[in-house]
Amino acid sequence: MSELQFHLGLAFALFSLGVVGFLARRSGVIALVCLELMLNGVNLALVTFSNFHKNAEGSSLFLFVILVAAAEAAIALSILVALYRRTGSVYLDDFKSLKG
Amino acid sequence: MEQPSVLQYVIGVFVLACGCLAAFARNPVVSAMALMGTLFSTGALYFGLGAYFIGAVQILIYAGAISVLFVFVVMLLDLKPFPVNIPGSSLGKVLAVVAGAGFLVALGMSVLPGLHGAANVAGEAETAKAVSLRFLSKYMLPYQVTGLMILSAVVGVVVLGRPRKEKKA
Repeated sequence: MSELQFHLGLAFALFSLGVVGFLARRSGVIALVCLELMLNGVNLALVTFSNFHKNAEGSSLFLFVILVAAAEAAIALSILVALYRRTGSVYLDDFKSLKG
Repeated sequence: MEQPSVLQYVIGVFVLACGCLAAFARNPVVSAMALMGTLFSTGALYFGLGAYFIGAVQILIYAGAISVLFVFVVMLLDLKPFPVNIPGSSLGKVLAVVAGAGFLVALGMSVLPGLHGAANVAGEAETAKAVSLRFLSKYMLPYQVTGLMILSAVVGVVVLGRPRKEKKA
């Protein structure tokens, strides 16, 4: 296994873990944690390719991904806190009123 | 160096273990702490690749700020460990595992064979310079827009976190 394959394999594994957790868990907080796992896997792939091609485009994208992830985490967590304050629950199955 | 070193294997196992714990722990506090471990050890992987600037950013912003936000909110909400048995959710879980495994296999089969390369440690010493040059020339507009997005996120969080006014009866 080369170093490139090792890092890309780790990135794919992190992304897949995030997908499984996001789809299987019904808790809002853990869904967000799994979202961060997915973003982290993508970041690892970006930086790995950037490193192996000696090209800083991937590293620049990495910084943008981090900024967007920070904004997303802040907004989503404050929505969760507002939901918890209003209903006393963060479990996604409790919020089906938009389903009709 | 073509092969990953022993240290990189150890860090990789740690990343995967923390990732599994973050995704499948019953207790949200454990999940948030494991997320912090995953992000931190991914930063260690970046150092192993020679991307020192990226590793520092990862540890400062991701492991330092974002995961602290998660831990803070989980502690604030005082959540109970989530029950395992939810009626009617087994099909969803099977589908989730199938989707995740399918992703892993598809990505691995399509990309991994035939790719060989060693880390360019020497070429990455200039990462900070190259990235900042791009941010000031090619990515100037996205950079400014990202600043606007962060500002709107801050305003949004303040609005969401404000206590609701009681309506006068």
